[in-house]
Amino acid sequence: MRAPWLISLLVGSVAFAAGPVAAPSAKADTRLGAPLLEQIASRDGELKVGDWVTYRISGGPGREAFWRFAIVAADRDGEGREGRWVEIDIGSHPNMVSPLSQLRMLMSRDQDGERNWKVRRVLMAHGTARPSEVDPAEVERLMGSGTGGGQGRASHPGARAVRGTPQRILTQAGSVQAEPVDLFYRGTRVRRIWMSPEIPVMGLAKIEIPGSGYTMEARDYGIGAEPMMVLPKPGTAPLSLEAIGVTPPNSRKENQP
Amino acid sequence: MRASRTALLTLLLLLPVASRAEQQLAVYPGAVHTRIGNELVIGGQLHRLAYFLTDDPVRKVAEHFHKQWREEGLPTTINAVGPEEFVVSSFRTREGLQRSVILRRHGNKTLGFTVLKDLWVEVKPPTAPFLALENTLLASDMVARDDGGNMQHRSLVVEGSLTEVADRLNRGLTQAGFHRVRRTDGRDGASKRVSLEFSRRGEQMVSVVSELGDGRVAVLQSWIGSDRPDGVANDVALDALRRQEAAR
Repeated sequence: MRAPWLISLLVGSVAFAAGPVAAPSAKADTRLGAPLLEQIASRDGELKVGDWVTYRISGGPGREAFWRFAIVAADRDGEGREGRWVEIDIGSHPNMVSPLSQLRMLMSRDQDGERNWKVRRVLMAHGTARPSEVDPAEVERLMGSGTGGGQGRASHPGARAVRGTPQRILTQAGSVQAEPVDLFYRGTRVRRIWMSPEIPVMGLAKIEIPGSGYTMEARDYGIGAEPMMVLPKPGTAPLSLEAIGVTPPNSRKENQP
Repeated sequence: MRASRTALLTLLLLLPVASRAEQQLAVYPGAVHTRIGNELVIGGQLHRLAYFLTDDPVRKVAEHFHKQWREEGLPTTINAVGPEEFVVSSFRTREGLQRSVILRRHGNKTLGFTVLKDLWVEVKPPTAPFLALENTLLASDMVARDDGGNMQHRSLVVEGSLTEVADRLNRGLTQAGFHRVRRTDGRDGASKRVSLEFSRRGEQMVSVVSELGDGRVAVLQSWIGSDRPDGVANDVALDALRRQEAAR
């Protein structure tokens, strides 16, 4: 089974949304290309089981997609650490009855008091394929750069993030109190991120990209999320990174601005 | 008491299977739908099939399913094969199911075949003792898991004459322990046809060989594993009976 675009979407291609999202939690961190996942991993406090949020991504007529992020269960990882199962679905309809891609991850912290959550297990499905688990031995290589506790964060010359004054904004999920974070590159505002503690899972209310006209905004959120992925049968062969087309880290080039 | 408890336990164990089996075929409002077989295995995948006829135009029927499935939030495709033929499909990615409707004009009506296909379940190849014939150009298997018994079919296109292929079938099945019950020679229009019926311990094998022209024949082999009302294959039932007798 091949799902290269899902992996790249997760690890790198969510740049427009993910990079600047990390900014509020890392002061003037302006690294581009950090995954949205990192925003979940770096959330202060606990990941509350049952929290969910759906985003609508719009790039104009006919260019619409939906993402669902949900904390669906508590569990322990292989070393007995308490963790959370997080499901991420990408689909063409907000009800997520039949998403185009599904991802389910077990996240836990190395020790009590540590801030960042790390991905320990990954299950995924693309299209109509039955979900499979990524070989646990390769999960760290797959996710390491995205959830490594902020390692590798680097500021790009010419880029800066500016926080604004919190205000009430309207999203599809209703009006929320949100703090704007503007990301400038060489003096031009390239993204505006609205962070709100009222929105669960990531605290992300809205992202605007003026240059391309794309927006990503919370559409619905709530509590009581249930697991939706149909788990693979016991004994199903795990996916390997080579099989799903991920470039080994040694050959990955830096994402230069 | 014990029997009822066992029955309840069996029912509980079967519930997940039963709920999965409840997936329905797509239905066009106001049309009578006729099932084709029950559980069909085509190309190793589970299918359910039905057909319907309606006075509505092909395009209107296609748009009905396209709209309905999109509103349900399902990824949906619609393909116009020609002006009077459409294929509409939707996918339930969480369950691995595909629903399709194949529509075409038939006289002054729209003929629709509705299909439910399980994309995740892979069924083992047929277990029927079909003969593998030399010079086979094309082969297709279908299994019908009906209530009345297990039926398996294999369709072949074979290079050879009608007489030669019928003789090969006769010899092969006789060597496999089958007893020929009947041979019927007939015609289907201009083409000759031979029907051979065999039996072996309650199993039935029917082979129909038909001329296709250009030195090719079509062979339809049908194997019926049971004529029992409970659907248990005869050979399985006989084996069980023998084991019981041996145990006594």
